[in-house]
Amino acid sequence: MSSTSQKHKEFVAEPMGEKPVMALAGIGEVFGKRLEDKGFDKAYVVLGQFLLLRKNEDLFRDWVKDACGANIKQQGDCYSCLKEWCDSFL
Amino acid sequence: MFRVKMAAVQLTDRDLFSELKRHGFTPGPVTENTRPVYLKKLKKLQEELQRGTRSGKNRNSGSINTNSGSSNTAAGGAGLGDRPASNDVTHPRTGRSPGSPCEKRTDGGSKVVLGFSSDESDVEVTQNKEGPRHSGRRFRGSSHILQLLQQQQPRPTETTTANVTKSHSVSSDISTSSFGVLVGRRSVSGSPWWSDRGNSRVGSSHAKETEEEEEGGDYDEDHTDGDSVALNGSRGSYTLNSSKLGGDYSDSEDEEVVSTKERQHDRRLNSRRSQPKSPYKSGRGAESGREKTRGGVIKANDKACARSLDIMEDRGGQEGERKTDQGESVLPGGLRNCGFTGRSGPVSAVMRESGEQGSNCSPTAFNNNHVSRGDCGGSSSRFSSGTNPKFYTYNSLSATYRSNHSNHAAGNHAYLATTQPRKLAVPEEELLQQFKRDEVSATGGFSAHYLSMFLLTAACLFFMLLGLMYLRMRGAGSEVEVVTKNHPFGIEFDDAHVGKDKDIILKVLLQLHEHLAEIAGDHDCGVHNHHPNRSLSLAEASDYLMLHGTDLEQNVASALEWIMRTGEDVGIRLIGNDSEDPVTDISEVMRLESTHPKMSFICRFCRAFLTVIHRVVLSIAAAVVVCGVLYYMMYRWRKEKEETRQMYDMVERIIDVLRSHSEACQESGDLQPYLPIPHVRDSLVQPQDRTKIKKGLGQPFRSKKWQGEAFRPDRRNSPPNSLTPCLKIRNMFDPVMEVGENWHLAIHKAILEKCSDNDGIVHIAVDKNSREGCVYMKCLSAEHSGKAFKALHGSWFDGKLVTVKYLRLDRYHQRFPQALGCSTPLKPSGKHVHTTTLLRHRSSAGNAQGFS
Repeated sequence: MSSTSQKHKEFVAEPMGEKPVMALAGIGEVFGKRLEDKGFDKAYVVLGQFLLLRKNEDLFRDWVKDACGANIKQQGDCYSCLKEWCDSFL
Repeated sequence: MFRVKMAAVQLTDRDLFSELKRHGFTPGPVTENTRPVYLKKLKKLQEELQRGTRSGKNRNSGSINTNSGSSNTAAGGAGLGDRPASNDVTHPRTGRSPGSPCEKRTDGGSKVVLGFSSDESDVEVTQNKEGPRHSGRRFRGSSHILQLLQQQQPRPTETTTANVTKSHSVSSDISTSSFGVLVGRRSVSGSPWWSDRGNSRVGSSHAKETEEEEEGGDYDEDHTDGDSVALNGSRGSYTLNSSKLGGDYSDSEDEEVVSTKERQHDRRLNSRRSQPKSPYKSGRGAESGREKTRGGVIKANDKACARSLDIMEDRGGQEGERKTDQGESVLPGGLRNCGFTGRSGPVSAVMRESGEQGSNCSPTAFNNNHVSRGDCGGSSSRFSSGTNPKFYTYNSLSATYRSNHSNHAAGNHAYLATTQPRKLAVPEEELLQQFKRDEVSATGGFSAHYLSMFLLTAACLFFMLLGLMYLRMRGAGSEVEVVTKNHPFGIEFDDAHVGKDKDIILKVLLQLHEHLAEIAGDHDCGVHNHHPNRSLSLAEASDYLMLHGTDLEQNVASALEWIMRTGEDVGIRLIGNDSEDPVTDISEVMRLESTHPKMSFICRFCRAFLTVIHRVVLSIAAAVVVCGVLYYMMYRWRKEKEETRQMYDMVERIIDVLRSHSEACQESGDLQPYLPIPHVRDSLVQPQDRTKIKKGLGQPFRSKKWQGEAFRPDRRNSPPNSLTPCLKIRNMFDPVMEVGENWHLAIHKAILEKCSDNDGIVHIAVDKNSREGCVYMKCLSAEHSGKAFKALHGSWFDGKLVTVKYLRLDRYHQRFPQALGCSTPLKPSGKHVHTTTLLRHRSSAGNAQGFS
């Protein structure tokens, strides 16, 4: 990818461990709060959701949109961030 | 299958799951979090199904991006709707990213093999219903041709309109590797044929490019009945093929192609609808086969089959099944691609014709597959002669294929199997051809070799002849000179003597000359039997002349006088008492000698040969001497440079020491700022070396010795058991400080001595450029390396603390491939002094003796 944000790079560079959900690319304070309210307080929980959806982009994007109302770009960022993380560590 | 209206809330998780599966989408577990997402997905799928290809295509394209084919399949599945979930998820669909056309196609094809995602096909099928052209066009028109390619997926749905879009599909097919694209193409191309559901749109566009599209289109249409998935696949493949075929055709969007094709297709369609497309397809296939590899051909066949299937589908869903199979078989990747592009043109043309022909064939014939094909092929007079054979071949292929298809799944496999060997055969044939060519060239080279040899021989012979002739000439020259009586005495002679005298004198001279020449020749050639001297005294000459009956007493003097006068070389040299002085008066003449000795040819040759040899030897000797001198000079020069370098090195070190000392002085204030030279030297040189100061400044000695251990033998800071047989030893040396050529050998020796009890070291490599002073070592086994580890790790060597760590064996071999074959334990050479007492000289002179 030509344009990955710093957040993306940082997230993908190492196992996520106990990172908060705000550490995901595309998820900021607001979205992170919303996700936390729904119970997705850690990045690994979102990872779980991602895997539950079988890493399907469309589904995951839809879910992200439903869960926190992110726009297309943010959905994409989140998806690609998780996908790349999975490619490296899963 | 229109459960679209089903309310989401009524669905249980299980139902939702199965619904999604029905659509060809493989969902993950439905949990409270994923439920809404899946519900949405289901809604989308159902909408797509309703909407037909377009929505399906979109989905497909979207799904393409995702790795999971499930999305694709889902899309396809949606399209299929009621069709059984035969749409394999694995079908990555054309959607996959439109990358390079060929590759994509193959990929799609290959995927198809895995599973035929009926998504696209399904969608396409539905699209067909709407109006192939329209949808196709719509679809195609939406994007540029190339883009269309990308939208191969959607294509399948468009296939119906494919006719129009044939060109488009072709191009798009190429771009989209996705299978679906192919399918779309096929449907497009096929559509003219089948105009499935009675749509005549298909038309004759099949021909060439259209074929591909048509096929795709037709396929799609047909697929609606069922196996649209399969069809799509096949269609896609066809389209791919067709696109390949008619690369130039620009299976433009439906509209362009359709317009023309439609007309054709319509005609054909109407007539052919009933007829199996197979003939057409086969024709197409034949063409494609022609173009490229069998694979292509096969593909074409498949297409044809698919098309025919599509056609048949009208008749019944059964065909659809077949088509599906065909499509699937067609998809098997390799076929499609490459074969078609080249042939697209002719193929499409053929296709067209075949299409027409096909139309002639009765659908029932299609059922029989082979029969229909053959008949169609034969009957079609339109087929170009060239294509006919292919057609038949194709038919056979397709027939085979179809027969395979009869078993839905089995057919595919069989087809694949058959195609595989065919495909393999092709590259093999190509290879063979290449080899043959090579052989030919080799033989050519061989004869060329002979030719060169011959020329060389001829040149040698020529030169030899030339030399021989020259030699003979030399010998004969003197004779000629005499024979022609062309005496060099000049006019005066002629004037002075007249007639008889002249002749007598000349005769005398001639005889003398000859005799002298013989003598000289004998003498020169080593035949010393008669005359010990080369020359003849005057008396002897006179005797000889008298012997030969010439009354020359008085003429000898005049002859001699004339000889002297002439100053030219008449072949006789007059020698006086002093052989070297020129004779000026007759009275001085004592001896006569010939200047043109008459030697036998062999003698001459030998002498010449010897002379040449001598000269050559001399020149070589001179060259050798010169080279020797040069080398010696270079050697000296290099040595001087080396010495200078070492000296500079030493100087630098001294400076460093002084600097550090001064710094230390500044810090501590205790030490004297000046260092005596001996102190400096000592700090650089070990005590043992002091006694051996070498030139001037004293070349530094550095004895490499082991100076103790830092850890106790039972140290715990090493791994309990050795891990690998390879070790990396750090801090053995400082590359900056090392001078000389072979200091690394000293390192080798030092290590071997340190591990002298370990006989399992097989390879040591000193990394001269490493800052850390690394040495790499390989042992016979992990146990040996463990021993070495214990011996080396934590030891002091040369004032530095050595550390050891294990290395991976494969990495070691990567770095040092020469170590792969090492298996003999290394031993320090015994003839040299032990490192602890060895004083090594830095100078190069010292290196030679210092190392084993």
